[in-house]
Amino acid sequence: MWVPSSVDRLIRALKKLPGIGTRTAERLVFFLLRNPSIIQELAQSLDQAAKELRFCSICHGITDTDPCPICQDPGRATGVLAVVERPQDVFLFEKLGIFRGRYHVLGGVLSPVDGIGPDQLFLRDLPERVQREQIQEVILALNPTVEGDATAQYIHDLLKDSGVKVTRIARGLPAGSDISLTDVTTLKEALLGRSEWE
Amino acid sequence: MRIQSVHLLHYRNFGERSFYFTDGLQVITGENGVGKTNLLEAVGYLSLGKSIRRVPDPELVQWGADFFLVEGTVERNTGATHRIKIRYWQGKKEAFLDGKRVEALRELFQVFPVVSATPLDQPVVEGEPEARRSFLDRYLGLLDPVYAQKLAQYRRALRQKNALLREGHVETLAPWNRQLEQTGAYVVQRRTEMVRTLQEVLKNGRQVSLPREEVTLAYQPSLPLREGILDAYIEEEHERGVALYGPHRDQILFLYRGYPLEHVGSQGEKWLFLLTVLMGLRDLLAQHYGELPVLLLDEPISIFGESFVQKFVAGLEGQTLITSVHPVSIGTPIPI
Repeated sequence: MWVPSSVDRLIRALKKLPGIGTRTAERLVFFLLRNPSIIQELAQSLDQAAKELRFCSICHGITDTDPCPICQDPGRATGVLAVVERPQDVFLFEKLGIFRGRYHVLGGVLSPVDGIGPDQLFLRDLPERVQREQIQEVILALNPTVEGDATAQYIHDLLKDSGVKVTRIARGLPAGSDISLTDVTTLKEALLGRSEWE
Repeated sequence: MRIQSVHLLHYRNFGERSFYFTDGLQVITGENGVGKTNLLEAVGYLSLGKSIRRVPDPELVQWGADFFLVEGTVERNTGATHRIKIRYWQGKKEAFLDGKRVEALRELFQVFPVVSATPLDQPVVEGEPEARRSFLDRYLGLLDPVYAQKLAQYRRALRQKNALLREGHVETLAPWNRQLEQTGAYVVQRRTEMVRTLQEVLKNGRQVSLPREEVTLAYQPSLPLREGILDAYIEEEHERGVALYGPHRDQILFLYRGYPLEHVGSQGEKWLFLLTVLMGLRDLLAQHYGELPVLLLDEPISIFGESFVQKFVAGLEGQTLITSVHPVSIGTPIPI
């Protein structure tokens, strides 16, 4: 079957994206062909992102200026640092609008079977950063997986002697859920992590 | 608790077949190769959502077909009936209970509990620690979903730790050891309780075949697991390149007349021991679910002889399904 080479190239490029198979890629391409203005917009955005996006040298989050606006913002609570796994977790916290501290993005979690040790993550600079920025509390906001928990443990051990308070986000029932539909482990965690009525 | 009927489609050697069962002893008969054990396995499949012979799902599909279907009707002591349906197609398994899709296969066992023994369970009585652990883990995981999850977490952390030990990176072992201690403590606690309860049940239950004072079960941990203890073995584990301590190395002892079964028991006594443990498990599950699980035994007559099986089954309550290559004068025949 003959397909114009630029169309073929575009389909193959789109298929490299997560969650996009041949059919979706084809649908997107033929949609774009009918909407040339979107092609222009997309091309410019991609070009700009490729040129400007980088990792913040302090928090290792995604940014277009280095240091990132959050690290530069003097209005941010200095003393509190949230440790997260991935850059997109920062945006999630920002969307909440209730956290006013700063972030530290690890870039993943410990996973020896995948060859990820402390040196493959942004971990080594954490104690120094805690000291430099006079952090009083480090909040571990990692996924409650075996690897997330081991990484939290590693950070806890790493910061043990620094005198900083290390906390972790609570685990338990999702808001708006139904207790009868919750799996028993989550229910157990929620029961063990219960807090006093205030 | 009993199974009333089974309908099979492209399961193993069956194109499309239906079988009907009654109370008491059901003897699945037929020549070698007709699929007696396959039918027994299919009944077990309705309970566990997997093969009692631990055969991977793709191998259960009939040659030339691309899916299989196992359906069955079970009846509880209350008279209530439930329909269980499991479909396997293109690597995906879907189970339905009374027409509604189940989230976890464990839900099937709660409605239709079975206990089973096949010749493939022999390692359990031959003293292979791994076989005994997984024998116990299988039932514990069904009884306690938290156990199933903790055990999965333990295994995952163990895989990570062994990866570090293989590479010789012992300086970052500590956080994995903490994970193993936390999840492992629950595993050890539940296994110890289970073994103790099973021992109690055996002591107070009906004598099956071996004198009950001669049958002892004990749980022997590889070390007293508590926080921080695994770090003491880092050097030794570094040298050996593998994790040596924890519930994955614990022993479940089967003692016959006070000695390890594998050393003192004859072949016949080993099977009787397994049968005794299985009866204890059946009573334990009955206490938990309020229903006596259906008992599935593959070829017990070739192991124990017809007169033993006759005597054994005569004293049994509930429904028992066995396979037999020889025609027998006991029970309800289910010819294939």
